Amino acid sequence: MPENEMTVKDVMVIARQIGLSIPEQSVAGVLSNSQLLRGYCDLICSMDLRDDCLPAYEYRP
Amino acid sequence: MSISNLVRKIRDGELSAEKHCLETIQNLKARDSKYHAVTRVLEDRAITAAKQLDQKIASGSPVGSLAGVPFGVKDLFDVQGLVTTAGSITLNNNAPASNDAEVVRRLCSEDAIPVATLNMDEFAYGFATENAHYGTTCNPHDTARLAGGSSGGSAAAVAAGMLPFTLGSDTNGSIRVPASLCGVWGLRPTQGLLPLSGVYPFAASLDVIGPFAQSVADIRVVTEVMAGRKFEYKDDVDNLKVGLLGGWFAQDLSADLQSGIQKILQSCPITCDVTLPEADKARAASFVITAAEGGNLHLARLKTNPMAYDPATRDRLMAGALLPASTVIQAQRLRNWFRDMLHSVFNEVDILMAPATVGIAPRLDQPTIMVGGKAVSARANLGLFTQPLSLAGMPVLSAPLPPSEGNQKSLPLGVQFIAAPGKENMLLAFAEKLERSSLLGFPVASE
Repeated sequence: MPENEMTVKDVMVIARQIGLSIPEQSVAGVLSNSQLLRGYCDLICSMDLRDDCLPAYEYRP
Repeated sequence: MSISNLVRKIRDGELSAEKHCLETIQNLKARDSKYHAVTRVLEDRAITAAKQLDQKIASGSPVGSLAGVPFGVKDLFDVQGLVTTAGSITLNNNAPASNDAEVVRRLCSEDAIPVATLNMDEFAYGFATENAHYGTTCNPHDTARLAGGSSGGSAAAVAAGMLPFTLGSDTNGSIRVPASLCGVWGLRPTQGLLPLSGVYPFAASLDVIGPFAQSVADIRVVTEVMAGRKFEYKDDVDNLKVGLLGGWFAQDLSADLQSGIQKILQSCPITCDVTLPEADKARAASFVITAAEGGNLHLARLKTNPMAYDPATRDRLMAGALLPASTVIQAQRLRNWFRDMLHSVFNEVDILMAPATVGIAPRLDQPTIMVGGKAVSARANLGLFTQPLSLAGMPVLSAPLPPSEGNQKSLPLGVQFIAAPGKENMLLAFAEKLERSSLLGFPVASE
């Protein structure tokens, strides 16, 4: 397993922080989706953005 | 029959609105068992509205620009008197909608008639319209294949010729993907052009609604009514500069798709190649924003009633709810960067072109597509080319390529045309030119 791969333990810790109880039959699916999202998060966070590049909270195209 | 022809016949008294409405409903009931596009038929409401319209016409009263045109809506639009399901059973105990969604109201005020609600991925989270509660919508051009999603019922109903137009929603590609796979036109308008009042949200900062139809003219008339303004374009469309998106948007394309794209380029006098930097990161940002907003929207219900969700939707929403704030904020910052970069591209070109999907509709029994030489889930990856563009909120028209030469049984393929914000007028005028030249357009599925 890659060093930064999410584990069931990681998922359970974060779920507890937001008061979410993950049903047993969903643990594998939530883990696999979390790992997929982790890959996307790593990709996004690899991009250097200027400090004046603000979040698009009130997005206008 | 085009919408304008249908309206003319009804207005002129050649065709009774009630008769046409009854035939449409009978057709839906008789044929939809093959496609599973329809979830509810609005028979009483539709017949009542059609009778009232016939009385107005008989009395010489003025009627609307969509007089007697039947339409359907994705199951996340409010329809007065019905519970809005959003393709789920978890909302079944909600009160029925007290009003129509605003765009439905605008269409009805022009005498269009809603006749059906249409199938979708649960809470619009998917590109397949595989719904554990309401069934899988099949592609009318080959019922052994997916219709695409999440607005699959809306695309399939038009592709089968059961309805002249339908409404869908597009967060990451949920209009453009099923339009492409079903061979119909689908418009994701400029974000904010059409009101979302009475539309159940998915990822609110990306959600857009739009129409499906069989021609550009039909897309135009319906969108004009919903937007409350005309999309006139007075300049010469032959002088538009068209940029073909390469890089990310050139991967894994089928040969027929490449051929169709080249034919379109050859018909355009001024073309260039354009590469959007960081398209993979834009797609990732779209993915993350969607997961986080969707996860947050459903978190309270996921805590109290998780088993009411389709298992696949539940797992994805829960994973989204667990995302750290920092990455979601980074995604929203990247979004602004991407929007600014795309604006600068439109200083150089008028229209961008890209494929809508990598190829034809995947089979139901093998719901995968090939990306980078690997078979990956269709439900999660059919939006490969639509997701990055969602991030920028610009108008995108999904257009069907014609059947490949010498093979009238070929399955649909679609391309996306993108314009600067608010340039729906240019986008539609450009597409109309290509449609007239038979470079775009796919026939209705045969029964």
